[in-house]
Amino acid sequence: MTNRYRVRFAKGVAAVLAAGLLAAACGSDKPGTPDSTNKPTSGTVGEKPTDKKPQPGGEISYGLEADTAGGYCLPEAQLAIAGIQVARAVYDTLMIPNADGEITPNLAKSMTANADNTEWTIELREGIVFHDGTKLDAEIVRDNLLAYAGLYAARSPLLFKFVFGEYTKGVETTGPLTVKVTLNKAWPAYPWFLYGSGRIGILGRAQLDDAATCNKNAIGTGPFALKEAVPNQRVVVEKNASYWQKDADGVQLPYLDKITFVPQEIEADRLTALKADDLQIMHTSSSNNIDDLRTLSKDGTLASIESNKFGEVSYLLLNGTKPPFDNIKARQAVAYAQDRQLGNERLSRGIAALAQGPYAPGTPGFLEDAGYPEYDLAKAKSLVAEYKAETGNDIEFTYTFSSDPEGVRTAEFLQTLMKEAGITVNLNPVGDQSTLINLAIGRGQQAIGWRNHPGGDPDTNYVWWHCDAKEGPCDNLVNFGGWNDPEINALLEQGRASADQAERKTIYENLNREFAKKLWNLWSNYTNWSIASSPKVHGILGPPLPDGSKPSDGLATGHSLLGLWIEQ
Amino acid sequence: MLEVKDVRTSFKTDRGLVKAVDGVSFTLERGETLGVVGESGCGKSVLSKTIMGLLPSNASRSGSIKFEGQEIGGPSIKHMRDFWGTQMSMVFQDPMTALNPVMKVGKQITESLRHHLDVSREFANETALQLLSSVGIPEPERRLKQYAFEMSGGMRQRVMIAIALACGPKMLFADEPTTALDVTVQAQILDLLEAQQAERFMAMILVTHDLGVVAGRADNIMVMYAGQSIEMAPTRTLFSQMRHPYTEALLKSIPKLNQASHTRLDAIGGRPPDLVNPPVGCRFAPRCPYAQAKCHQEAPPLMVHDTPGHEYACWFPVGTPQGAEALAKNQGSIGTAVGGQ
Amino acid sequence: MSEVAPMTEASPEPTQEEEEATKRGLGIAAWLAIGWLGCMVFLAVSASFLPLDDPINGSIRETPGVSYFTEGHIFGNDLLGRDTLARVVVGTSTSLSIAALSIGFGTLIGGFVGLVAGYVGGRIGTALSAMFDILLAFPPLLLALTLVSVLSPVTETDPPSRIKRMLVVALAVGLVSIPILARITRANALSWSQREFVMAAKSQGAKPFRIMLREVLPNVVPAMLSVALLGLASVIIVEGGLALFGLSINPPDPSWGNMVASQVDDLGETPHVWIVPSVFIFLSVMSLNLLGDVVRDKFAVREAAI
Repeated sequence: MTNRYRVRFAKGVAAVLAAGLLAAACGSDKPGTPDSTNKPTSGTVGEKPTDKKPQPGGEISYGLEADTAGGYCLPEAQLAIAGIQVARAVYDTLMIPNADGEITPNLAKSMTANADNTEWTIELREGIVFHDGTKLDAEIVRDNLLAYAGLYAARSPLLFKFVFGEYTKGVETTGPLTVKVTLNKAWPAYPWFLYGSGRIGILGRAQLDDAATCNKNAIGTGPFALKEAVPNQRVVVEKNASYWQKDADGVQLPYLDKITFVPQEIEADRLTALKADDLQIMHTSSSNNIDDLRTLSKDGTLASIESNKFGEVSYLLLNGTKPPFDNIKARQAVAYAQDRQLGNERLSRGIAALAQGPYAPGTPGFLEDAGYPEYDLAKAKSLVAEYKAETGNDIEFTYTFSSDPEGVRTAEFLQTLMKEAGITVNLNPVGDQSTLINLAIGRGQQAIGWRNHPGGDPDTNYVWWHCDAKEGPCDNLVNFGGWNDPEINALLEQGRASADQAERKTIYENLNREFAKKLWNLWSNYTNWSIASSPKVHGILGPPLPDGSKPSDGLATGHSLLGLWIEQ
Repeated sequence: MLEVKDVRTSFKTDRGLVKAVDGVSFTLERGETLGVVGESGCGKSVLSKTIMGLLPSNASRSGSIKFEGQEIGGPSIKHMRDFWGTQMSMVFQDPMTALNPVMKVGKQITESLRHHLDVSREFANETALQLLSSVGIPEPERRLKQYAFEMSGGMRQRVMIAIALACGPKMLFADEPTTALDVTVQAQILDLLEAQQAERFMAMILVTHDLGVVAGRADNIMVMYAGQSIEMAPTRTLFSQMRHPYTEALLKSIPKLNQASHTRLDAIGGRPPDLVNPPVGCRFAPRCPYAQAKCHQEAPPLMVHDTPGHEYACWFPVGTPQGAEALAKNQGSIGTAVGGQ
Repeated sequence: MSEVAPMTEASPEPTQEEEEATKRGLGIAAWLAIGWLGCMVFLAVSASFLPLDDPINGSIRETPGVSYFTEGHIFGNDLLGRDTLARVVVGTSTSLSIAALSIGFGTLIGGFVGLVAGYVGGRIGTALSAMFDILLAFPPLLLALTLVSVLSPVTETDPPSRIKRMLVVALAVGLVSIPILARITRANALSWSQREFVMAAKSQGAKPFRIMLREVLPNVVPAMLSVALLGLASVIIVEGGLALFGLSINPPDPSWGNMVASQVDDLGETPHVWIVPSVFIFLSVMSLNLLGDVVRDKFAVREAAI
């Protein structure tokens, strides 16, 4: 079965352009019988504290939603959540976010900026070694950072060049364990980018310089070392006995001896495997699974942690450079015609949290009400008429989407809804994600079902929306909508330049409201993630971070595997 | 009309080159019948297919075949299509398999008529009707609309003959036309062929393993053995003064009316030789009761000896003093030369 | 006209075997299969005239996902409020059209190539059959998947129309079926070409093309028909396979495969939505297989390696 779905769900490949840019549109699935459990998630729920002492040893199988075909040469890799989860086993990032939405040092002992946030000094922890025994020092970190910026000869990154290339002026070592990064412009949120949704792991020299097999030759400093990777079958990692972190009692981390990651694309089958104890832990963002898991965890059959905190948002990515969506009336008409609550009931068992803007709960800029249009069919119809009066045309557009069952249902539902308002939708299913992404890069679409923007620092979205050009279509290739909005550009610039958290919060809230007004993207819902496990499995969110703070409880970029342990 | 000179046909097989016809020459005039006689595997059927140009793709032929003065023996058979049907045609051995099982017999007759003569459907049907009644098929209208499986063997062979005659060929090959038929029907079919040949003044080559079949019907008879002609003579001469021991053996294997019914027939001992590696000398020698040392060393030439028009290839011919001596010698020394284990 | 001995014998009685074959008839199962397929063809042809609900735009404001025998919905409706009966009937038309088009195409091309390979033989025949073998070495579904992707690339903004998409799917599956049909035709043509009546026709001066079409082809037809019937069954299944990859006809147009595929991620929620088309697929495939076997037995089609 695994192979049959390979073509369809190249979820691993999906994130060519990163940040969880999964294309399956709005949260999906079916309506359940109306039930008191069918409530949208809010924040993170389900974590059950245990007073049991962690038991080191043992092994578990971890069910993933996809295989990562491209491998783990991180600067060049295209990791979606399944790939990130494996990367978090093998690699450590310099920085890591905590539960309060702050970025904290991880491999780095500290990270400090000069007064105008253009020079960052990273001091590394002592005594950390890679899986191959080589030391983590300033030189290897410098070369990693250069590689991510596209300034290191052996590596040619794709997305990360967009993110870092323009800003990175230089990286140099200023001591055996000190690295100084010089930026072209002020960038207060730079430390967030060194977490990069868990993708900016530090590679060992032997991997970083490996010309031919960098994607297979995974060498990191992470809690587990890669033992075996069989495409579409499994990825096996084993305990790194000389890992640099210990728990509060001084016990060596990680606790587990071995993790076998098993890709299983079919959501329902993954849950079945968990119930059968073929898997002991899995992740899922399927509404059906999450709904079922609520029941299962209530009676104690399974445990699950559910969260949309720092999550991604699903949305209709419109092309603002072409008719009809270059006209705000068309965008508004579609927004008002979208009965999102009905869609939630019909397709997501009513458990999806409808989005008001791009920022998920927990992220600065998140608003309960950003002024996003509420469903209003009459208004939609009159906007259709206005559009017709203005342009002489009816509103008609092609909706391109990933052709898995959820994607198809969502698309058919959208088509039917739009018909009520007199808007014609042509459906264009796409079998593989890379086609979808290529279409978006070429701005060939009119509307695409999209998922992106996992939370954390809101500045991480700068790359997706900001345009340097003052006029005309956006010169930023990964602004897939192609729109160039002066207000949004200005707000993004202010947000990036500001180091004052309160001020930034206001800026991003304004940005959120601006989006609700301009409707460049039509938000659907925040993604729920759930980590479901056997009740014997504990420690999913991990031990306290090196600086003592609580680890992030958002699940959109995976979770720490350090504290995971299983009762034996 | 037909002049065949030194024709050779061989087949490429995994075992080697099978020389199925190995240097045969004869001539045939219009209105004449040539009987070609021999055991199975002696090359007689291949000979007629060689002349017709109906050889499979792994066969190659050489020598000269002239039809009405025109050379038709070349390696290409493309031009043969113009001859087939109108100049020469063939009646096959087994009417069961020689008729298309899924086509009505009327259609099978009119196909070639319409193809060659470009006549109207009505005319073709009319001709087919006449043809069927001329080959003695009662109720021809009904038969035209029937399939082969609805007819008896004899009737199918009559249909075959009608098809072969449809375009008025000048020459007819009849390849064992009665072998697959009941004894009672054999004579009828042979008579039919003879009558048609006479009426249409065709040349006919009647291929058979049974000397009795050609006895009263052929003008000339050619006896073949191992791909070669070994004796050829006008029918009367052949029966009265046969010279080749093989011809004699063939004759002895036919039942005769004047013999007592329980008389034992003489079968020919042994098997025809392997045509990939034929024996040196006379090819019949291993099975020949007359054979002497010379026969195993030197092949006798096919030539006219005493009677004009009667040629044979034998060192010790039947009915000559040499032959009698050889036979006596062999009968004295038991089992020397007689092949056949 | 010369004197000709008149026929003395009577026309032969049908042999015992022939008689039995006639008496044996088709059997109940075969008649049931014919009946079912007849119904399917009727539904396919009359889908747009029957008084059915809208198969595309459901009543999303009604209760969705209701089960069998709910008011107004014999087979229930799906999560978008679309009547399952209406969708399965329109799906019948789509699935059968794809099956018929592709097998028609495959039979035409495969039959012709196989006939040439079998009749002409020699190097051409060997080369052609080597080609079939190479094509047969590819897993058919994979080949069809690739072909659909190649024939209908999704680069343009405008999705292909329903008809175009159907033709693309039919063409892809038809291409896949070519070597199968070519091979069986070649095997049969080869054996029939060596029959004496072919030589007899040749000795009457018929041209090769004519011999192929008039003498060999009619004898090969039963074998082709038998394989084509089995082929139709396979196509119905392959269409379902393509649908699982989202490569059958485009949503929202229903086909049997699309309907099943739309539910594979959750079979339990509205089971009637996939069970109904599955039953249609199952019965049709079984009927076609049965009829294929009947044809083969009737005409004693020689088994050839497929």
